[in-house]
Amino acid sequence: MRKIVPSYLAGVILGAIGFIAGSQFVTHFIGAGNAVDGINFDEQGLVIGFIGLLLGWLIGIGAFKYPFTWLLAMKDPDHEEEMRLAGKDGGIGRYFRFTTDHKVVGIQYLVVTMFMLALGGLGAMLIRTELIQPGAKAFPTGTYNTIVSMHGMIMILAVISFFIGPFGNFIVPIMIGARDMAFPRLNALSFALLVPGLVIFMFTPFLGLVIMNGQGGGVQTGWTVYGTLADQTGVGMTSFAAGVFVIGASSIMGAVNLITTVMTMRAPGMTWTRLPMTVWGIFGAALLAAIGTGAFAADLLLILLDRIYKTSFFYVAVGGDAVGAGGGNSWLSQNLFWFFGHPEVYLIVLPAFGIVIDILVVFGRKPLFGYKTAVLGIMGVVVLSFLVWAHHEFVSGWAPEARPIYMATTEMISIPTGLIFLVALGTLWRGRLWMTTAMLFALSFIWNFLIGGLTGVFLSDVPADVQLHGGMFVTAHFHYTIVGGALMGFFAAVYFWFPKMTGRMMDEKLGKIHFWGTQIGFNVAFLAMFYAGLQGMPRRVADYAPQFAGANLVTSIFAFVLAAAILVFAYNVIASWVAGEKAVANPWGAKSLEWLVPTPVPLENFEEIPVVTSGPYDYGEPAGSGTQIPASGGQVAG
Amino acid sequence: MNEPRHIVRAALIWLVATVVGIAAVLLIGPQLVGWGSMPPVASNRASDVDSVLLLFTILSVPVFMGVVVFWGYSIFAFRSQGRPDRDGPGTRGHMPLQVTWLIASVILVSFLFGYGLVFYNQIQSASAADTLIVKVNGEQWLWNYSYPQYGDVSSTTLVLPVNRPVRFDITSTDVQHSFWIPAMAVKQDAVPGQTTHISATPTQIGTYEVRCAELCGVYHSYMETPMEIVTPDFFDSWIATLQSGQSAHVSGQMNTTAWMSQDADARSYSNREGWVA
Repeated sequence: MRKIVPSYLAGVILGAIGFIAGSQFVTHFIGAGNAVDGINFDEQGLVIGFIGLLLGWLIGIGAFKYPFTWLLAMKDPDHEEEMRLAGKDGGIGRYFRFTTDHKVVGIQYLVVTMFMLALGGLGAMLIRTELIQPGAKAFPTGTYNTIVSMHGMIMILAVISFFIGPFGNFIVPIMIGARDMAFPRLNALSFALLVPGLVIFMFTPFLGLVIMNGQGGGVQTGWTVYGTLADQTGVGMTSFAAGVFVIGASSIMGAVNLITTVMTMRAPGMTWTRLPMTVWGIFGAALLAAIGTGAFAADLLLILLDRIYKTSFFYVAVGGDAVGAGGGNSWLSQNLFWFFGHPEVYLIVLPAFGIVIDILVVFGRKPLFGYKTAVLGIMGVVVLSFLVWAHHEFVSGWAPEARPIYMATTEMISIPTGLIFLVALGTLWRGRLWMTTAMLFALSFIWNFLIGGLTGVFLSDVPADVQLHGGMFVTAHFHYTIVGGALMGFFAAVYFWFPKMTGRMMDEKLGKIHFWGTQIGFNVAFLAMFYAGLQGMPRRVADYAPQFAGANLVTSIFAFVLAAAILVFAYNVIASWVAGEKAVANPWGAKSLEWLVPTPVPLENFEEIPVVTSGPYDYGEPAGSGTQIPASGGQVAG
Repeated sequence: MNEPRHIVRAALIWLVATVVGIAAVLLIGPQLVGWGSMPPVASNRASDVDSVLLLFTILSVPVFMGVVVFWGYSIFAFRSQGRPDRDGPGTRGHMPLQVTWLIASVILVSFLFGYGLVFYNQIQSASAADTLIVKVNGEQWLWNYSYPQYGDVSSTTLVLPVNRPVRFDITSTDVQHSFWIPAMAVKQDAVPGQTTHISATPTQIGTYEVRCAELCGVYHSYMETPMEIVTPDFFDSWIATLQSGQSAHVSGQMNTTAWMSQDADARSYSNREGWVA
C-alpha cells in the first residue's frame, strides 16, 4: 500500500474515480433533487467531474500528504521524507511521481511541453491538409473550427511553458547559484496541475463527437473564445475552458515561484547586473504570466458561469433568442482576453530574447554588447506589453477614440525590441562564430523575428490594420514571431542545454538537417501566407475563394516540409537521450554557473554555495578573476 | 583585415541593398492590385490604405537591410572553422552607437505615429450632408442591409451608388461578426447589443465581395456575399423597385471587375439549402 499510494498510477485511478463520481453521482443527486429551470446540468456535471478528477489525481500522487499530516498531526516531515520527496534515490522512478527537485520538474516539463507541441503540430498538419485546395473537402467546417481552436490553444499553452517550464526550472536555479527553487513543493504542484489540466482540455474533441449540442459539438470559437460565441458553442467549450483554467493556475504558480527564486535565492555576489540574460528573459516572462493570466482565467470562469447558470456576463439576447437574461457585453470578453492575450505573446518571446543573446555570446566568444541596454530592452517590453492590448480591438468598435493611444504604445514597443536587435548584432560583430546547431537556431531567430517584428509595425497602424485585421497577414505575422522567433529559440535552447540536462550530446548532423528543413519549410510556408493575407484571404476559414489557391498550396507543401524537419528533431532528441555521446561538464566552453557544476548535476547542485565575483560574459579578456566554485561541486553529503 | 574596412564594406552593402530594395518596392508595389495580389481599390479608404502600406514597406527596407546585412556579414566574415581556439575582442558595448540607435528608433516611431495619425483622422472625417446611411445586420451566417433614408427597405445584397459617401451602422443578432468589404478597406465588427459605425466613399463601379472577418461559428467560412457599386441612376431605380415591394435583381450589367463575381454567389451560405444546424 505504501508503495502504491502515492504514485502516478494511484493518481490516475483516483482521478478517474473522482471524475465519474463528480460527473455522475453528484449530477444525479443534486440534479434530480433541485431541478432548476435553465441550468445546464450536463455541463455542471462535467465541471464537477473535472474538480473530482483534479482532487483524485492530487490525492493519488500524494500532493496533499505533507500539508495534511502537518495540519492534522502538526508534524513536519523528517529529513528522510524530505530527501525522498526531492528524488534523492536518483532512480528513473522520481520522474514518475510527485518530486520536488527542480531538475526533475524541469525534465518533466521538457517532455510534456514537447508532447504538447506534437499535439498542436498534428492540428497544424490537419489544418494545412484542409487548406491544400479550396472547398471544405477534408473535414466538415464545424470539425475544422474545432481543430483550429485546439491547435491555437494547445500551441499557446505549450509555448508559454516551454521556456519557463523546462529551462526556468532546470537551468535558472543553477544559473543564479541556488540549490533549488524558492518553493520546491509549489514547483512540484505546478507541474502536477499541468498534466490533469491537459487531460481535461483533451476531452474537448471527444465531447464534440459524443454530444452534438446543436452546433455540431466541438469548439467553434478559436483560441480567443469571444464571449458571445463561447456562450453559444458546443459542449466541448466546458472542457476547453476548465482545462485552460487549470493550466493557467499552474502557470501562475510556476511564475510566482520563479520570481521569488530570482529575487531571493541568488548566490552571494550574483548581483542584478551579473545575471545572465536568460534569467532576465525568464524573469520578465514570469512577471507577465503572474500578472496577466488571471484576466484570462476570469474570462473562462465567466464563460462557464454563462453557459451553466445563464449569468449573462457576455450573453446579449437580442432578436428574441432568449436563452439567457441578456444584457451581457461582448466587448468585456474581448478586453479580458486580450489583457492576457497580448502580454502573453511577449511572455513567449522574452525568454527567447535572453536565451538567444546568451547563445550568441557563448558561440561568438565575445562579451555581451551592452548589458544594460539588453536589460532595458527586456524590461521595457515587460512594462509596455500591458499597455497595448486594445490594438486587437481596432475594428471592434470598443473605445474608437482611444485607438491612437494604443497605436502609439504598440509602435513604442518596437523601441525596446530594437535594442535587443542592437545587442544581438553588436555581440556578433567581429566575434569568432562557432556554427553549432544551437548557434544556427539562435542566428535564425534574428532573421525570423525581424520579419515578424516589421510586419507587426504594419498592423500597429490603425488604417492599415483595418484592412489586414482578421486576415492571413495577421496569422503569418504572429507565426513569424512565435514559430520563427520563440520556437527557434526553444530549439536553440534544447541543443544548447541538452548535454547539461540529460548528460548526452545531441547529434549535430541530424541537427543541421533539422535546422535547414525547419528554416526552408517555415519561411516559404509563411511568406506565402503573407501573400494570401495581402490578397485579402480571411483567417480561420475551412474553404476559400480560388484566387487564394496558389498561395495556400505553397503554404501547405512547405508546412509539411517543416513537419518532416521537426520529426527529425524528435528522432534526434530520443536517439541522443538514449544513446548519444556522453557529455562533459562544459562542452561549449560557456561561463555561466550551470556549466561549472558536474554533469549529471548532483542533487542540490552545489556542494557549497558559490561566491560570484564576475559576470557570465568574460570573453576576450585576460583570464584570472572569475566565478569561484568551491571544491568541484560534488555530491551533497547525506 | 582591420576593423574599419569591415564596417565600411558592410555599410556599402547596406546602402546598395537599401537602394535596390526601395527601387524594387516602388517598381512592384503599384502593380500588385493589377496582378490580383491585392484587393481592387474601390473607395477612398482603400487608396489611403494602399499608400500607407506602400510607405511602411519603403520605410522598413532600410531597417530590414540594416539588420540583415550586418547579421549576414558577421556570419560570413567572422565564422570560425569548428571550435574557435581563441576569443573575439572584449568589447562590452559602444555607448555612442547605443544612444544613436535609441534616438533613431524614437524618431522613426514618432514619424510612423504622426503619419498614422494623419491618415487616421482622414478616414475618421465627419460625414458629408448627402451621406447615404446603410444599416447592416449580421446573423449566422449572412448579412442583411436596410436603407433608412428610403423607407427602411431591406435587401440581402448590398448596393451602393458610386461617389456618394456612405455610413454603415452595424450590429448583430447573435454573436460577434466583422463586416468586411476588402475592396473598400471597410472593416468593422458587428457586435450584438451595440451599434458600430464606419464610413467610406465608393469610387469604382463594379461587383465586389462582403465577408465576415471574425470567426462566428460553424459556417463562418461561407459568410460571404457579393455587393455592387453602381451608377446613381441605377441605384435610384433599384431602390424604387425595392420600395414597390418587388424583389429587385442586381446582376453585373456594369463593368464587373471579375473579382469574385460568380464565385462569391456560388459559395455564399444563403445559397446552400439544408445546411441549417
